[in-house]
Amino acid sequence: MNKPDKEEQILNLLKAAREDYISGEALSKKFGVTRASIWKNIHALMKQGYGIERRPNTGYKLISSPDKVLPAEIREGLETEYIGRELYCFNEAGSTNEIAMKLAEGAVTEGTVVIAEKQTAGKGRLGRKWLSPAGAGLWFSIILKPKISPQHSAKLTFVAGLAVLDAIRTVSGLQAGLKWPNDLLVNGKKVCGILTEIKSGPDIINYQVLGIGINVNISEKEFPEALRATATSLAQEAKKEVARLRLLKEILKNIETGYEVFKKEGFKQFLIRWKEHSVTLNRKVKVAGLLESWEGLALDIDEDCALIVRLDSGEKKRVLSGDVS
Amino acid sequence: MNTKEIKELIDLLKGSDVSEIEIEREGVKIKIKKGSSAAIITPAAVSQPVVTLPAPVIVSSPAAPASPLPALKPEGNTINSPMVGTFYRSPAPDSPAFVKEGDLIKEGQTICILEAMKLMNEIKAETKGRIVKILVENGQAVEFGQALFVVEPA
Repeated sequence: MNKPDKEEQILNLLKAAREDYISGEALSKKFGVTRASIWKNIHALMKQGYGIERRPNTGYKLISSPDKVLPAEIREGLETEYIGRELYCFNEAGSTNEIAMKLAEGAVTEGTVVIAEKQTAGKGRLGRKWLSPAGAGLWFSIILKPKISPQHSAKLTFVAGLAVLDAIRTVSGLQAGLKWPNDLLVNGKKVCGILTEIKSGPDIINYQVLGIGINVNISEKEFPEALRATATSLAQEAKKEVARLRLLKEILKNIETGYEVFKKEGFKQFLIRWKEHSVTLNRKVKVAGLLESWEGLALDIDEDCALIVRLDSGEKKRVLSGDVS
Repeated sequence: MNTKEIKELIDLLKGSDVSEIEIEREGVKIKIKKGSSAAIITPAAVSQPVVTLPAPVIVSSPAAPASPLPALKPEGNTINSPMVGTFYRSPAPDSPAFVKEGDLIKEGQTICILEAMKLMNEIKAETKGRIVKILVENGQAVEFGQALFVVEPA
């Protein structure tokens, strides 16, 4: 399903025909296969949720498309050169990051996207679970192959955070804030998390997988009670359903644009914008690491994306990882 | 090769002892490797200290092995950190360590994770060998180039 196959080509023809019917015969001629073989594809499309009317002696007409993360739906109107052009769409997957990391070992092209309607083992930091119910969010991973050192690869996650922030505003009208290191909050609650994984040698990374999870149309009661105080969805905050596929396409476009600018012009302008939208800076924070935790004022984010905290003792602490609260 | 075929390969891998498949077809090469969780080799008898989040508990290392290592700088090569970050010995605080001192490691085996700004870098062994000493604590901040492990050829 990484490149348009016959099924997707048939779908595209039906889409292009709009109100017209396309006969089974015309399709069978076009692809050089039997009409039974065409029917098999039509049937498969209907099983995916496409509404297709079948009229004897006339042909097929597309009535409706499902709100699902399907290749044809993602590619339709996608304004990117390479991000999301190669797609691996799953109805259900363990973790899209895990699949992407495995795919990246092979010959996939840069910009390949792995996306799932539902994740059964969505990954958070330090082995934590990421809630990923079916149909209500965007759970996806993007494979990038930048020629940068591992030292610089965290910057790309900040670039991605800004891309998501801009897309959320464009599509839902909501203004999110960035919580260090790279969560997105709306009205103080988490709507998006970005978990990045890389494979690297000492000097250069082999590939980088940006794992992005967005709570789009999850209702309050779908969240476990323990999460309700800290997590929300775009639909809950906007008080209306948010177009999931449109949001996805906007994010992919923004990430591609941001990634290109990052490669050409560097990180500086992203850091400036990131700080402007930060909800962590200039606040009293507590950062909990595995061995230690620190309390103090979040002063700054340095050029390596580390958080600078001024402890109550006056000492400045450079924090690289931890839970901020 | 389509998604279904790749998924089938992944499923195939999951249920088998094979850790890696490499296929070349029509000029496209795909290599599927098993994730770290399946590749961990952990001696059953030794249990790891458990660290719970978010309480900042400092956990001491397990007791020294019966035959103490020489006090001088141990022999062997070191595996160094490719980045500034936080060092983790296990995928989650309550799961077993990737490797312990004395373990034999295979090429490509995950030996630790480094994190910076929620970016995870699973460090894999470049060659087979034996872990002689682990030089940093679980959860400790490490510098670029800092030695993490002492290894010896095996």
